[in-house]
Amino acid sequence: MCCVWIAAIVIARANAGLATDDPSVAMSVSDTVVMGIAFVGLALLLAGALMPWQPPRGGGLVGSVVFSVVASGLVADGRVVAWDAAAAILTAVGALAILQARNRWMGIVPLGIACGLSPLCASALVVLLLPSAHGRRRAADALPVVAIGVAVAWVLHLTIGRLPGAAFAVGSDLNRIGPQNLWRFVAWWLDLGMPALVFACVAAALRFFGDAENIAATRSLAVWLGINVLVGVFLPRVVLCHGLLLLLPAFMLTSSGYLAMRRLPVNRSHWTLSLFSAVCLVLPFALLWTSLRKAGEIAVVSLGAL
Amino acid sequence: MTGGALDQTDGFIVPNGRRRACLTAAAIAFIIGIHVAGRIGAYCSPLTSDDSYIFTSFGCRMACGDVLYRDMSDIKPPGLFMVYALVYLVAPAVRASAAPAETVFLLLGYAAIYCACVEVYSRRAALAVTVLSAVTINYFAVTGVAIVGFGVAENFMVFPAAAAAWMYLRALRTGGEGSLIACGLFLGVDTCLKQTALPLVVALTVHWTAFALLGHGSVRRWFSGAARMFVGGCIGWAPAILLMSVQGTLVAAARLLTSDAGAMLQRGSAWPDEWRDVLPLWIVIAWGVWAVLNLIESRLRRRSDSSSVDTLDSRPLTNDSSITFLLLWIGAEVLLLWRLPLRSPHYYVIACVPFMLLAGAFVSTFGRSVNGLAPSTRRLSCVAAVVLSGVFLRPAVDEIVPRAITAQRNHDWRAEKRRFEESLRWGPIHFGRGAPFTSAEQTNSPERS
Repeated sequence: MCCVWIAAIVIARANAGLATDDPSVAMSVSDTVVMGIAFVGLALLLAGALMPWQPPRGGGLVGSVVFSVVASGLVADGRVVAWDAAAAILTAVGALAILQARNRWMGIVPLGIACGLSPLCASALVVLLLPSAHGRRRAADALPVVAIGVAVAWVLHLTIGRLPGAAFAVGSDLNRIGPQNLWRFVAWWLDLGMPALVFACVAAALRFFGDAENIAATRSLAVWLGINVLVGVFLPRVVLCHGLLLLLPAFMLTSSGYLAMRRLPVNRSHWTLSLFSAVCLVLPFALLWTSLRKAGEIAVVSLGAL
Repeated sequence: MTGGALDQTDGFIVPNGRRRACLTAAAIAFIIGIHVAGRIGAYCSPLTSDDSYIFTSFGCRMACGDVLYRDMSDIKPPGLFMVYALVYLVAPAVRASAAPAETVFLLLGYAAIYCACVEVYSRRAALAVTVLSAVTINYFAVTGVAIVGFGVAENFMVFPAAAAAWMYLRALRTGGEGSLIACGLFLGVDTCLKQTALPLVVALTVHWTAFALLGHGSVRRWFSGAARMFVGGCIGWAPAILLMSVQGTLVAAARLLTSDAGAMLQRGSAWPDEWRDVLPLWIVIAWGVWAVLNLIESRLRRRSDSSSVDTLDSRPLTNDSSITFLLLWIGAEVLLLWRLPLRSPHYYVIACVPFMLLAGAFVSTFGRSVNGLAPSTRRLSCVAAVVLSGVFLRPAVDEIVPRAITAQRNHDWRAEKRRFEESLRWGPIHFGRGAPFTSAEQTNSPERS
């Protein structure tokens, strides 16, 4: 269902792009295919379906639903480009592989390629660099791969002259750094990404108090999210176009946040506390309305274009 | 691995050592951040109202030897002008010199709100209320639609009002009346800044009368407490009265501050038009509704199980006397808001203080209701409560920061300098009943509150 929804919105966005003369809204067929595959893959990944080693968890479905709806809002808002989506799924695959302590190359290679596609993926390297039993070795292995990935991407960029990924728009965006853009992204991010951030904040806070299920993984994701927030605040123009990448750790924390919130007290003899728990659980889903509305609008525009 | 011990008094998490320091540091950093954004937004406000120029220029002229209520006058008490006069005795004659003084008063105000809450609730609840207060106060200062939120008396009144409430709550709690002198002192300073301190005076008077006469049946105690507060109030007013007596402006000031100022009350209403005008109070209202439901639940449970003992969990609100006082204060503020001359959020800066203090009761109620839960569930509930509150507060923060950035970017510093210098050259000028008028020449300044 999530896959159908996100694929439909990507197609709707592409159709809506065809109906306008605005070049920033237009999407090519290849862009649409790449974005569609990447989003469907991410939805499946977050649901736990694409990774056989990921234990089945009830939160996976919620993580996938939240991602699908928020991502559809981002797509409808025109803030996501195809190569961002590709970089996002590579980053997610790499980060999950590393966090679950599988073959380290299964994590390092996708991360290297992702960093080549978008420098904004570099913040995901904290999952490699944070202290752990194998952290130093993993970091020593990863950094050359990441450097090679970035170098190849830049060489391609310079020689071909066309961006292999919209990530290199970062170069032109850097001159927009400054207080005049501060908060623009944060306001936008908070509007659309709030449901995922609510769950992520709960998971991160429980990690702070030592109550998280998987402490090491949650900590890495929380630090990664923290770095992304700082990037979002200080590089606002950049992230206006690349918000998906910066919200990625929040999506990855959603399932654990949801699972934690299911443990909120529900007691028939203490109904006010139960009411509080219900509001806490319902609120993030209610916040999905903003994204749903945006996605609905683009769907209507697309239908009109047909 | 545990996140910390659990407080047996109110059920909140007491994170151990480093975590507690981290949380406190994060709260303080947030308060300072939102304060800075709020001050920038208020200082650089694009509104064209004259108030901050009037107050600062009057202070500057007083520092240069002009006489308040003779060379220039307003229907406001002398406190704010005296503060600015002291500032300009040592600071350069520019409008920005007023900013540090205002910041000091506001920071003291946050601290006083924290201390007042600690007097009645727990430290965790007090910290939460202080964060909420910083957002609320700065929201109202930044979102002005008629009056610039910088340099106005309300920003200076938060500290004495909260401190007076703190001292009074301490007197109620300890039963000692020594704190009442300090309460009167802060009340004196508060009323010396602006007449809108009247609701606090009324609430204190009514509550103290009821508390001493009806609660304790002691006329002597009532008289003793009232006398102490009066003495404190006289001390608070003493510098202003001394200055006005020496300058011979006492009678003129009395007329301006009473009959002329009273005439302003019939000109309009400061009542908010829509819910969005009081955005930061939504979370207080939401928690308030929950706390009332919790109170009803506790009553019903006690009634159905009359044999049960009165546990901490079943006690709904912290201190009935304190809550009554805060409700009285809120009632008086609401009545005054109804009659204030124009709808401007800067009035809400001081009116929101009792709401903030009462919010601590709601937070404490939540803390007690999770008291009986398992430690991990209790931590989870507290985390969820903070995140939920953050979601409710976000729209307010989202108003403050972009407004501050936009205002700072568009602020014309040269025009400000020109305008301030022009206000210093106003000569004899009198404000109060509408448009300003001068004895030498008419000015074209807009009408003000």
